[in-house]
Amino acid sequence: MLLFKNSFIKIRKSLGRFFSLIFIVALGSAFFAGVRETSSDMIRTVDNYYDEYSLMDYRIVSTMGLTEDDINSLRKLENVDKVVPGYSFETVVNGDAAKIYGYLNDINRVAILEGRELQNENEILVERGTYSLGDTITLESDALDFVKNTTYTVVGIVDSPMYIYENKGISTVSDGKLDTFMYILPSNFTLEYYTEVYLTAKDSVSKTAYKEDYAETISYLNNELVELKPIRETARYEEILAEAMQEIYKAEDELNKQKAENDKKFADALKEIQDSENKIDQGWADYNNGKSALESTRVSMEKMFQEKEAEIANGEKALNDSLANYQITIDQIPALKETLNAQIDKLTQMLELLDPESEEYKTLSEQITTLKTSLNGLEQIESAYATLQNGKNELAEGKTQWQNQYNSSLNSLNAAYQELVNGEAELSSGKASYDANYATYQAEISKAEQEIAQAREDVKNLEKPVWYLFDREDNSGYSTFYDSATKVDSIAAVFPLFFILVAFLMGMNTMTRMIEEERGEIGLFISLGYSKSKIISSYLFYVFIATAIGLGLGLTIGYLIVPLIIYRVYVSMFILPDLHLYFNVFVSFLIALVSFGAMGIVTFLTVNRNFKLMPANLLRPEAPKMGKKVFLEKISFFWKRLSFTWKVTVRNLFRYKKRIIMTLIGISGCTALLLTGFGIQDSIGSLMNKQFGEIEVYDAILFLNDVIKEEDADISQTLQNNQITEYEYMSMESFKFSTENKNIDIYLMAFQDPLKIDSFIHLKDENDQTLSLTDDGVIISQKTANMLGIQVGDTFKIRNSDNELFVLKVSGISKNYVNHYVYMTENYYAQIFGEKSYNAIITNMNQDQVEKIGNDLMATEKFSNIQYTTDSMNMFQDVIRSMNDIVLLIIGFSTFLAITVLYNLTTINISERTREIATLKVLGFHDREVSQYVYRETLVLTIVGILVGLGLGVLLNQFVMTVAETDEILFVKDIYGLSYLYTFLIMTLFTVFVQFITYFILKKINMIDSLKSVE
Amino acid sequence: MAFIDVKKLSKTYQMGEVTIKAIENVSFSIDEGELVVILGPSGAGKTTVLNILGGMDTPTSGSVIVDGKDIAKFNRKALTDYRRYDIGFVFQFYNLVGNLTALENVSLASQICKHPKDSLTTLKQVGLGDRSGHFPAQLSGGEQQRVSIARALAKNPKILLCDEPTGALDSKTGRMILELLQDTCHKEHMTTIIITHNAVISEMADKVIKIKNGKVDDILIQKNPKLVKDIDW
Repeated sequence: MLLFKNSFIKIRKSLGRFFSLIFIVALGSAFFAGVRETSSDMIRTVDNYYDEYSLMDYRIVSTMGLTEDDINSLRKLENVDKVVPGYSFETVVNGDAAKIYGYLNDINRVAILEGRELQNENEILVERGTYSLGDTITLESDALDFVKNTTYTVVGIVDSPMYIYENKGISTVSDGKLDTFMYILPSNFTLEYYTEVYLTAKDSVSKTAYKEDYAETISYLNNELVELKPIRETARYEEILAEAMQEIYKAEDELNKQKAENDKKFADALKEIQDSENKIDQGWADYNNGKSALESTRVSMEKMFQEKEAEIANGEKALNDSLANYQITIDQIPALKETLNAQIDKLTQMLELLDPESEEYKTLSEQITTLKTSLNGLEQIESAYATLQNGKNELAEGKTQWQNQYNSSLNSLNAAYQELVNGEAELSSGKASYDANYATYQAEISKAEQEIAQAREDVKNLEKPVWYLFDREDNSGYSTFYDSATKVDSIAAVFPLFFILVAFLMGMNTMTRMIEEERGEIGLFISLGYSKSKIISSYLFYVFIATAIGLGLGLTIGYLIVPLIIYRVYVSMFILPDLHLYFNVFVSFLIALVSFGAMGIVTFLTVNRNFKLMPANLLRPEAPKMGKKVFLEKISFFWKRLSFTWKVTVRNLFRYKKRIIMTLIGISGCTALLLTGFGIQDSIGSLMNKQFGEIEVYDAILFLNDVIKEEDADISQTLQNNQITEYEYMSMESFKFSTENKNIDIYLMAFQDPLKIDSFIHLKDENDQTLSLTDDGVIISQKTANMLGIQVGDTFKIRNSDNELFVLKVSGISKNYVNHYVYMTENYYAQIFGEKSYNAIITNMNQDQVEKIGNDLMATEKFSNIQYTTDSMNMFQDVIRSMNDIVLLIIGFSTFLAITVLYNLTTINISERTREIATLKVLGFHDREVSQYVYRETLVLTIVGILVGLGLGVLLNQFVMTVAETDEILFVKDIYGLSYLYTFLIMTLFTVFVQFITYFILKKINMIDSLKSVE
Repeated sequence: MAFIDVKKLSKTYQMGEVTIKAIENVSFSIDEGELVVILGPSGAGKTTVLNILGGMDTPTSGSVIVDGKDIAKFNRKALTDYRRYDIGFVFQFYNLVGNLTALENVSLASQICKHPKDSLTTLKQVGLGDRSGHFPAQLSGGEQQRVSIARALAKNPKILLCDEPTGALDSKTGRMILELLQDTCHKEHMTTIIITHNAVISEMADKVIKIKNGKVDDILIQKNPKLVKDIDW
């Protein structure tokens, strides 16, 4: 065990070498493990997040909504786990396009950051950022088509696994970009059908999102869904058709019923009218009859009266004649009568005294009879007079009576007349209103009939409902995250391998040197009779301790620190939970295997090589390598011009090829890594300057409240009132285009006046020639063209949110670095979409007053939203700032590596040449001269290494940037001159720094010890 | 006054708690052009004396006056200059730079001197004019040592210090080297100090300084030193 003790002593004696071994292993393993593990950590972290909050696997949206039947048939699927129907709609909230969901407890749950869950229908959950607890949120009134309330109170701030990315996808409202999402209780919704249904696949929770077995698991459900889709579409179609037909039949029945009812009513009314007419006619007849009857009565009455009067006149004449006979007047009659009566009474009394047989008697009797006859005559006259008088009275009375009767009859006739006239008027107005009503009724009926006919027509043209199946990949956050996370992977694939290669080369180099230095000791041990395996194991022990410590350090940093640093970048771009750190046993094992393996093998081989020599040889120093003339010496023109010391340097440079290669690899590797680090920074940095300084030079886009068909003088006036002189009406809409396996957002911008665009957006081709828009095609972004693989003259398709496809012809390809754009004239827009339309105005504003102008404009309520270029720039700057972290990480690691490599190489160089250096010292070389003797070589190697490294760095940068490019970004793969300079300076600085350290090492080399026979 | 005057020279090494006295109160003097052999067994301290004389080490006490200057008081820089301009070394293991040809090894030394001798001439002087383009690995041990001597001579030093110059050579080759040294000393009036444990070699010296246990045991002055070729091996 003395050997192992010896190992420990060696460690103590050669701390520098030991630590450089540790550092090399640590750096290599930390970078490799860290960068490799980060993307796995990130994916596991979001997978946990998705599972914890039950992110759906599928979302189905139907153009005609989903019914219970749909839900039930989905539930019956074999590979489905959860089937959760729900509601959502889009509306504008404070100018933002917002998607309002009914909150579901089973799926797509949210993480409540502040506040609490929903408890009643007036409450709302919102995403982080814009609102605070207690805020009131008012939806536009069109929300009432979907929900009961428009006013809600914020009770919770939440994160949703559905929205982990700033870009939330497209929207059908506002500027076409979804800005925010909110949740309310589903009971708020007043819809008759579900707007969507969320599904999870059986067993998908146990699978890691993004991975193949996840894709496989959900593919079973997908197959079923694809099968079910047409069935349910048809069923729903038939259902809607049946419903519609039912509706039509019902409408028809109703119409018929109504018709029947109304027809009868109208008939009744008509009959009534006719009755009235008859009655009036009858009335007229009666009236006329009455009138003529009265007339004839009057005539006969008057005739009767005349007869009576004639009778009376006759009676009067007879009376008068009688009176005239008697020579009296009527008035004398009573007195005459009394006289007569008195004579009669006197005579009668005288008679009674006379014998009845006496002539006297007889004469007296006769006298009495005569007197009685006269009296009788008088009485007759008197009675005739009375009768006459009676008749006269009667006539007068009859006349009066008649007159009365006549008058009353006439009155009632007149009344009947009036009544009839009124009746006639009434009738005619009744008739008129009947006619009018009847006409209306007929119109209504025909309208209803027409409607029904239309409905029938509609039903005939009824489109089949379409189910849209969306899986997680359609969620831009979900897929963008994966793209970004795997970007780390691709960097991980290149960087650490490069890194670990350099590191282990250095490690091997160190070990080789160490064992060579100690060949004497090995010889001693062999000669002392130690077994080879023991000797080897003592070296392995030394190496493995260093490797183990290095690994421990490296893996700790790699698993604990590196992922956190990288994750910071993502947290700034995505809304994510805290990173779950994992210890990847397999990768660690692999790294350990490679580390121990590489170190072990090189140690074993080197020690073993020495065993082949006899111990005596080992005890002697290694024979110096044979000196050789270098090829440069043959170029005497060149060689002659070199000073002696340079000749020595050149000769030395070529002495150890292995060292040259190692040095070149080490230095050029570090240089390449550094330059790539700076290059990434440049690419991203210049991206912003180019995008916002050279291409999108406008200050803001104002989104109009309403889509208009032509320029609006009122709005233009508003702009001018706000000192905006440079503006252009435009249409800005969001579309998607499809590549082989992705749907990518693309923004359409259509301008009224193509000549004015250059004030806002510089459209330039790759040769910096300004492109102009024409009416027969569009200009698209370079990246779009790259992704679609199209050129000028080709066509391509874009799809709107309703999945309608539009084919556009490419007339130009313009430089653009962020996002995809398609630019066109409004004329071309009209060709494609049917008519011109403007929903926005692109403007340049007075930079000092942007905020004030913006507020003033929004206050006019003519605009729904203002998108400022500075906002985009700021957002971008955040990304750049965070990307800088990764770059710093790379630069940091590269720096450490560079220092380690340089230190390592120099110390090895020195240790190999201690004797030579000591000789120089003995010969009287000053410390400075000795250092220069060594430095000159290092310097040449470093400079060559740096130059080679800069070349490599350009390639590596190209590669890394190509790999790191996202779908929305086209990196400028230029590296600034300054970055080359920085890299060069940093490497030179390190070289100088390391030389500074080695100066002291050189100074400390003891001539006397070094020159002793055996090292 | 002698060319080299060493007085009460002591050197102690502190190894932890143990103090080792390498030499103690060593005093001697050497005249210019003298060939001096410092003789002593292994570990007697002769190499320490040489190291101090050669400006590679400093004494703990005492003085070393060389050509009127006390090098014991020199600092690092002055010692380097001393080595550079005044001393020529010949080592037991030659210490040639393997990557340089014989001629270049000589030039390596001469190019830093004020008044160097011509490298090729010096090489010819040691009998290697025709091997000037060879690398050390292509030369025999004796040849290498001759290159080493040429390197020391080319500097045109005041003192030539040789530490067991024949130690690694067979006796025949060793004699040739010693002959060369003696010749040079005599012809060029070069003060030459040879350190050896081999008493036979001392016969060629003008002065023999015997060192034992770190102290001067005896100083022997030989009026008529033997020529190397006359020495009986």
